[in-house]
Amino acid sequence: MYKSQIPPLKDYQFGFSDPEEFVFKSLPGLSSKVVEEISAQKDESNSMREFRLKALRIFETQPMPSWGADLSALNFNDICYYLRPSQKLYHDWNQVPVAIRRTYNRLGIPQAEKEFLAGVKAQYDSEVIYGSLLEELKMQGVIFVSMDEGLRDYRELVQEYFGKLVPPGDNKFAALNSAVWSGGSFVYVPPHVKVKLPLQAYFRINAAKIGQFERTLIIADEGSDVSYVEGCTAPSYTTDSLHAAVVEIFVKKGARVRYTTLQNWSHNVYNLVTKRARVEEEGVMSWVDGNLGSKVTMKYPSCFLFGRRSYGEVLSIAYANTGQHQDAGGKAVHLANETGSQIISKSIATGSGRTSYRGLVQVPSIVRGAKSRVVCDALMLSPQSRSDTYPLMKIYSPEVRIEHEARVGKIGEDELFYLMSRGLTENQASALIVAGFLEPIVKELPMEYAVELNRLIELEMEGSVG
Amino acid sequence: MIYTVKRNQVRTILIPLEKVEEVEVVLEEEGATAYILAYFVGLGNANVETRLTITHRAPQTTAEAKVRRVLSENSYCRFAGLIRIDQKASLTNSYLADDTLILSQRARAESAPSLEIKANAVRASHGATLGKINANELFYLMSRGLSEKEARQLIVKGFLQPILTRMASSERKRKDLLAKIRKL
Repeated sequence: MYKSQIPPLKDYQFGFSDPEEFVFKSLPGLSSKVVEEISAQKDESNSMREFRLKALRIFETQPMPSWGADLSALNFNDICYYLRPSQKLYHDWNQVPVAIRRTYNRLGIPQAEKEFLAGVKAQYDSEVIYGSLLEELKMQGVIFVSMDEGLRDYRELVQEYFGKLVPPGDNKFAALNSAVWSGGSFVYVPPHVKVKLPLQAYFRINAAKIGQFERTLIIADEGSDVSYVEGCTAPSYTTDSLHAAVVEIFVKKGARVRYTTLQNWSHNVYNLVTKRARVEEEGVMSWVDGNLGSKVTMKYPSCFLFGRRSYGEVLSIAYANTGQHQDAGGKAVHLANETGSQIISKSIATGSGRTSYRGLVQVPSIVRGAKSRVVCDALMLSPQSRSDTYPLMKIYSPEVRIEHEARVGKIGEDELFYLMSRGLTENQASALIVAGFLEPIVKELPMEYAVELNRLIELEMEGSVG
Repeated sequence: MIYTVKRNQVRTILIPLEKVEEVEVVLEEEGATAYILAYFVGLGNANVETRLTITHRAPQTTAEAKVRRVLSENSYCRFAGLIRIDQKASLTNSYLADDTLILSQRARAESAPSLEIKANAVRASHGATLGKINANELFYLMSRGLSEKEARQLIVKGFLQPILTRMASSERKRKDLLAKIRKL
């Protein structure tokens, strides 16, 4: 059981940092020299090096987004794009350098590994440090390695998919990631293999001003079933850091993938992520996205429904306290008949925090039988908080059933009064109501996370009612 | 086009979407209430984009906006409706519903209802639905002897009823809208 996987939001107890021990650290700022250094450190093929350099040129010419959160304080020249904490990948926990092991011990990872999980990739700064995979999965042909290993050991498979769903030209931060990506996971599940336990990965940004640019690729072959969980933290520094990740997921015919994220970056991280899934016939993609930390998050997990009767959903929780802006949501693009989608967003804004929902549901003219439901509920716990909703529906076919609803408000006086009349204190009543508010999504989280999240809410309620 | 609603005033505002691009309704003073009805029946190559902003600037204001759109033939209609509640506009109730019937293969609808809420002691919500006429309803009416065209027009007339009722005082507008429905 994770004791403190997700810390109380008030006292960020993962704000400790280890003195940087690194084998290689690039100078701050971005240039083709830095990109080439990264590629050389990883001993990459020419084609990957060229891919990175081309992406860098795209990044340099692309403008910043004209919408969304305020990114004006982000200075690309001030960030260090690569830090490599040790020379190689370990397969046995005891071989990992002591300082790094200590960080992960404090985060509770080895306990988890001992307990149930299928395989753990723990990422410290820019390299994936430690991974292990249950023998059973190995025998079934499941591949769960770092992205670097994937490129090296499964080159053809990776190259067939890498960058095909989120190409460098997609947006400025995808271009950045494509140029300086490091770390992330590569997962391949063979046809009809059901992975019973969630695959876990853990990220941590340590050195100040380091960017975290992991790149994850998941391929679930026909009829397979896999679940992947990522949790992220960063120590507290006074300067800002950047996390610009890209996740590409290919859900083949009849396959099911669930990707769960519990992001709890410290409040000086810019979290700008592109997550996209391509779903084939009768495939199911489920994003469960928890955004609790960071200074600014811009993230809209998407499902592109390419196959007939495919289904995609985004279940999103966002929490913003003073100094935070969570700009999150989801996209569903229906490109085949009888497709279905669901986006459920539950957000909580307190202090002077701001939560924004941004989403898209799109159905072109020739698609028949598309069904979509979007529900955005926002709770504002303080009078200084702010909540926005910016959905967009582009519906070009009559053969559809599209629904959208959004509600904003504070905790209901009547509900509060009722619970207090039953003997609960105001704090207990609020905490219960908030837990009920989040319940539809929290119940989809792996049990350890769900319990932690509920505990966090209670702790948070102790301080900030009204 | 800006409509201002003053202290304890109740205004009903009818908005034909094809006639305006930008409309703002400002609930400026305490107790202001606005009922907004926006509508559009799209035929031919009609191309309409409208942005409606409902701004609550004072406490205890209320707004209820109903948008009903019917798109046929090759028409295109984009509707963006923003409910904005300022920090001092507490105890506000604001609601926006955007319902669209898409009747033809080539019709295109876009709906962008949004919220920007800076006060928390409020109730604000919105909803949007898009779809075609319910096949069962159509079938039922036809089983009663109506042709498909008659059935469709009757259903559309029912769909636009909230608008038609409010047009009681303006016979011209009512006649125009009914004429449009008869072309569907």
